[in-house]
Amino acid sequence: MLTVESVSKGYGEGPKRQQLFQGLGLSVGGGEVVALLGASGSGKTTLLNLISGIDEPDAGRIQVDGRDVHALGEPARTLFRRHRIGFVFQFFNLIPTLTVGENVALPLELTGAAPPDVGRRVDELLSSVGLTGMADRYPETLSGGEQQRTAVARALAHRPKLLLADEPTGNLDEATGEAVITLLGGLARDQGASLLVVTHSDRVARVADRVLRLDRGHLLTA
Amino acid sequence: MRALLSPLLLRAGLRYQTRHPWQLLLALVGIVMGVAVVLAVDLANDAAKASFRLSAAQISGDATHRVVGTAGRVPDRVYRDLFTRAEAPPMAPVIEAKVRTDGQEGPMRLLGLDVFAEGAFRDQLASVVNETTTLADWLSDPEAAAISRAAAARLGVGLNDRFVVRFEGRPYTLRVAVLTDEDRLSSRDLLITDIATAKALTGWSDEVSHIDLALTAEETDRISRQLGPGVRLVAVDDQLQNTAGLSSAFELNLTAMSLLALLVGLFLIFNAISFSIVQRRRLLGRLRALGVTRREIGRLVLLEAVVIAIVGSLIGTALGAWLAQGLTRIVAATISTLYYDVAAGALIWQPLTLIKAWTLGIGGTLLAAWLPARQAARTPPLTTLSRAALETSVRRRLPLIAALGGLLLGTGLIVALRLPGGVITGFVGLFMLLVGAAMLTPFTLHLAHRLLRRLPLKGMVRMAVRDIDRHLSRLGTAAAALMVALAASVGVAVMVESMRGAVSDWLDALLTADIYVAADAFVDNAPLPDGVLEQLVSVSAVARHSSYRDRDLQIGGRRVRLVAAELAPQSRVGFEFVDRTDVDPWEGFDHGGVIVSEPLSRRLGITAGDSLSLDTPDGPLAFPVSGIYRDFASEHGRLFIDRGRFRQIWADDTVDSVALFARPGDDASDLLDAVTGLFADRDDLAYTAAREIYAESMRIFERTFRITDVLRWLSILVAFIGVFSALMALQLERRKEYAVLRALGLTRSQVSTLIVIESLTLGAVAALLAMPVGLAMAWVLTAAIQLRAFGWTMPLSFVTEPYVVAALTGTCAALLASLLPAWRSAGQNPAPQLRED
Repeated sequence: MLTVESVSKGYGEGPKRQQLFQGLGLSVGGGEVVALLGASGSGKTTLLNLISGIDEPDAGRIQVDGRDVHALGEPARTLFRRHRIGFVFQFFNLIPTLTVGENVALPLELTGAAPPDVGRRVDELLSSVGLTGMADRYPETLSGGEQQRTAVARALAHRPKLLLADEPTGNLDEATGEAVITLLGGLARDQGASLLVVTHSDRVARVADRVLRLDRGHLLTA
Repeated sequence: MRALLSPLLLRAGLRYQTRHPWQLLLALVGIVMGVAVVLAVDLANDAAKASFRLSAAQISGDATHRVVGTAGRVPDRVYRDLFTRAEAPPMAPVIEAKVRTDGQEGPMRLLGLDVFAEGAFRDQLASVVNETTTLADWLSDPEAAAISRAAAARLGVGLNDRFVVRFEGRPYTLRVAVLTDEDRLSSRDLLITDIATAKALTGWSDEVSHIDLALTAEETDRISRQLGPGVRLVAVDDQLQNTAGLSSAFELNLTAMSLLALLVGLFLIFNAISFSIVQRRRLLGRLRALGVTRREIGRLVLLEAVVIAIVGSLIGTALGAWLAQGLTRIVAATISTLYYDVAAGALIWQPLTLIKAWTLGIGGTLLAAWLPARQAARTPPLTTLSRAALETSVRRRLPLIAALGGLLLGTGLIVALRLPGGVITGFVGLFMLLVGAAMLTPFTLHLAHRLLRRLPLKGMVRMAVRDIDRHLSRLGTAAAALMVALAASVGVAVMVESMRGAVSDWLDALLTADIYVAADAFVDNAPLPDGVLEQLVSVSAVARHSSYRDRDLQIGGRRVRLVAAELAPQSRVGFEFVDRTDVDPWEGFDHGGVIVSEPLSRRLGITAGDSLSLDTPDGPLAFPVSGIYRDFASEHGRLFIDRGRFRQIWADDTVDSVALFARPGDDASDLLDAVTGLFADRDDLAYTAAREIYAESMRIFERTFRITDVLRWLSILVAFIGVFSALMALQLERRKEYAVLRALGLTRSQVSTLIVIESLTLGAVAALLAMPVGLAMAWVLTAAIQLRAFGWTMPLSFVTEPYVVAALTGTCAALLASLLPAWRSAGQNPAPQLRED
């Protein structure tokens, strides 16, 4: 599902240049849940951004569902992300001016789903993340856990092949975080989506099929 | 809509707007005020012009053509000759003249009509006769007249009452035989009589003013060939066009001011939309991460702008209609003063007027939103750019924006002042200048910050000055909007001052005589009664005199005034020549040449030394142009000819007015006493001192520019709301920052002081920049636009008042705009803000 081949990435110019990783390789199979651990500044989020096409590698190739992400132009990359990838962020990143239901419906509408299908799918997802009856509420009226569950529902709405989660429990208390990651892992497996989750938490890593550690530019099996 | 953008995205965008009411208000105010002012000025112009045209059209009726005298009136024999020919087309003789009444300030327009010939032309006017009087009464009573109820009320007369009118000083009694409603006679000063009554009243026993005709294309050629010398056929449409052209100067002035309000409005829209983009960078970044394309983000911003523009245009239409009521009254009053007495008519809603206002409102909004939309579309996915980084990037771009602004400003000046073209080119250059100067404003703020931080400023002042530079992305456009409004205020005020100064100097130089004597009223051009001139010059207190006879001529299809003058040396001193040959212009004048006013010379493209062909009773004659003189009396033009030469050619020995000079050392009042004593038994002469003419002329000038002042203040109000809204929005955005400052120990009053000083600095910088920009604008207005529109040249006045007003207005507007945000910020409880992420 996901193949990262010999990817290099650094920031800055000249003597100030900081090389995050060089010749990095990674493979995630279909339906597999992989946890990526690492210290702050090790390049975990950058790797997610490279995979999703938000950022560009200095060298190497990244393939998602058989497509070379960076061989695509910017507009095509955006559309690829829209259809194939689901995102869960540390700070939820919900759209504050849309209701919970509308937030979940947004990826479906962007991918051109028919309105009746959108309604059905939103109800189904809200029910599976335990937010039934909250479709008309705005994100600001929800607790942190509820907001992150909305974000999980949104990430899964358009049935992406690959789910990327960046510290999904980093802004939640331990118990809520555990509930959210269990839910995310479970739903990803149910849908047959691959999940790459960046985390600091060993507890989160426990739900993964495989745990990797990014250390000084190298990926190690934990 | 589906193909354009996801409805959910649009909903998210529109909800963002409603959740940020200050920003929404800022954008709406820009559109509402821009649309309202443009619409109001158009509606007011249309209403006044409609009154103007209706009045002219009612007089011309269904006539397609008109036979006019090349040198004045048309002999009756021309009518008889045309009427008695085989296959004579419908025609009607008309007498049109200005008369005075005791109960009315201005003149009334006398229209003498032949009821039997009228059927084909003015049904409406002819039919009023049958309503309250019989045809027999109308024809047999030499006093019967029809006037409007409004005119009757002003004269204090009712049906069948008698009143006295004066023509060329001669009194004539009329009876109100018909009272008409004002909508029938759109011009309130219209007075209709039978043609025989009008002939008796004017004394034109064997002449008429013109003959109206309804002609087909073939008949037009035939009638033209049949006409003898001294008369010619003109199309009525051309004449109406000429009449409407009377107010073009005034209209141009209004249109320029309304477009200025729109420009200021566009800055507010740009400000509001840019602001919302900057604030939503994170949100837009999230959408990009979810797969929303750049194009969709751009469309989102533009669609939001369109929705706001539609709402703003609708509110602007309502406000514009309300504003137009007031403007129409001012426009009608000004046109009445300058041209004809017209009533403030009802507003006329023409589709084109609405389309123009809405196109400007919606199109202008899209234009203003285009750049922010591009900026939004460039937002990278999941942007985490901090405010500090954003401001740094804005500051990095400032020199480039300023350089482009400087280039635009310079190009604008070249376009306005150097490129050939009409008024439109001048306005294009003017708007380029203003937009260029607006682009320079944020950089000027940045420079002001760098300059101020070198000063030993302390505490809050230092923090406030630093804050301005930290929030350039927000404050830059608000400062630009304020600067444009203030610059426009300075520019227009300096232009008006320059014109006031030029007109005042011109009047001072021209009105050299002590007393001016005319037949009854100076404006009528009625000849002085026989023998009066001879008696006047024989008065021992009169040292010298100049005499004048005015006559209207057609040159190139436009009416110009020919002034036949016998000028004393003192009168000649008042002429300032802007173009002359090596020969003294007065020498040429004394030898049969003409002296042409500057506007006329520009319109005809003639210079000193050229020759000018004039229609005379003997056919066209060429006259050498001996000089071009500065003249503000008429934008259509005047030309002076020696009265002796005029007498020979036009066989007209009459004089309209005389200028009298007292003997050296004598007082003007002694001269006045001597003259009035001589004519104590006459009431048909008007005596006016030079200072009275000066005062009346300046009063008319002030009235003409009153509406300019109204619109100027309206622009400043729009800019004030812009600064206020920008500060309010900034205050909302910086709530957390203020809370942190409060937590660190800043008192409430210190937070308020911070905001007030910030705003004052912004206002002061905007006002300072507005001064040179306003001066440049005044330069373009006087040296390019006034020149191209009216043919007037005038030196630029260096007066201080507009600059002082701009400085005070800028700082006061900024101070006032900061009070509410300062008060709200100081009163805010910091605790909830500190808890928020």
